[in-house]
Amino acid sequence: MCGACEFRASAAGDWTLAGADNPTDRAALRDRMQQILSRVLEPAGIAVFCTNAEIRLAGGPAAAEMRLRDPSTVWAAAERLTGRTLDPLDPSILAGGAA
Amino acid sequence: MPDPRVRLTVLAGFLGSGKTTWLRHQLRHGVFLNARVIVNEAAALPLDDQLLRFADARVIAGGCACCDRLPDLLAVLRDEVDRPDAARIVLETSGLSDAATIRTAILSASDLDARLVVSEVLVAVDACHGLATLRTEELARRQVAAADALILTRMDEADPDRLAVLLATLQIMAPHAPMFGAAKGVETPLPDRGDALPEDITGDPNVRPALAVTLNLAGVADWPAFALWLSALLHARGAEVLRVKGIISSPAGTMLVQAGGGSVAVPERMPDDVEHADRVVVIGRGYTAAELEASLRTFGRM
Repeated sequence: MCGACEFRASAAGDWTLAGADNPTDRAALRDRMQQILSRVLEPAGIAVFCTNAEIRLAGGPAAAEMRLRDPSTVWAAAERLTGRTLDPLDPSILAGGAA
Repeated sequence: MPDPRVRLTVLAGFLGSGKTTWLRHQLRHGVFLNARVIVNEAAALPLDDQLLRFADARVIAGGCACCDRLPDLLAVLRDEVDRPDAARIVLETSGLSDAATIRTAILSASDLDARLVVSEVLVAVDACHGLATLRTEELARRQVAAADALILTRMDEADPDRLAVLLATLQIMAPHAPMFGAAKGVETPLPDRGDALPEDITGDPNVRPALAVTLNLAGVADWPAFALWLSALLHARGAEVLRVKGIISSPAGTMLVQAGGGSVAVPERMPDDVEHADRVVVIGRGYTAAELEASLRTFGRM
């Protein structure tokens, strides 16, 4: 797309991080993501640690650990750790977080 | 003597095939000079018109212009051809519309047929996901068959081997239709197909119809909750979620988020005065609107 189209792409990087474009907002975004991910993944046996640089997942049957840079990849990583797909439309998956 | 009838270009293509991006570039560069623009969206909440605001596009939303909104399309076309300056119209159909049905309906409308001619049916095909879509979606195959010309979009992101197979397959499906390449709207040369063989695409003609659900995020989910929810949904249900398009508020501004083929495009910053912020349209099958709403609400409450 060209300049005439007035396409204004967000900053490069994982799309989930496009909603924050300064250090303060990025820190708040990571904190909020940590909160959400913990509520979904901890009932599935996965501990979550978010920093500004990465997301660390730990747990699962093999007590393994994975380090991720992009939040959008966390679900594939959680699937590898737990051995099952965490479907957000499955009420049982969200039951712990909604409580 | 030139044909005095108003020329209608129908721009069709499956969900997420890049129709609006392509059209926006053409309009910005005067390709459809002085054309009136009509945008049809399957969802009740129109979003594409926000990308074409500069073109003063008319919107037919809440259904496809080939079936449930066909009377509205015909009414808008009658209104447009009555304009004293009417010369050319571009209709961007919804991704779930059958262009052949629209062409037939216009030919069958005796009052329109004398004043309007479908001069071309252009069909956009995603160079990255087009082959997978053709395998599974009967409608996408019908759209290709109805094309007078095919526009291969997202050429800059396509895998060369799969693109060669797609080109060979389209050549078999629509041998009459010339093909053109585009990358973010800019014309791009098509590669040599080499010795790539076409796929034998038959697909399942009994696939369930897609459901368009509009979700209201205001007071329901903030940016982090939406982003994690959508990435989870696409990971678990990527094959069933055909298209996602939404305008979402965030601390970095208002973002246009679009997904198709299981992946999310780079979000685009929208003007601050954009309409329909904090709405997202999800088109797909295999779930209900209530399930989507409940799931997003749960993420938002976390």
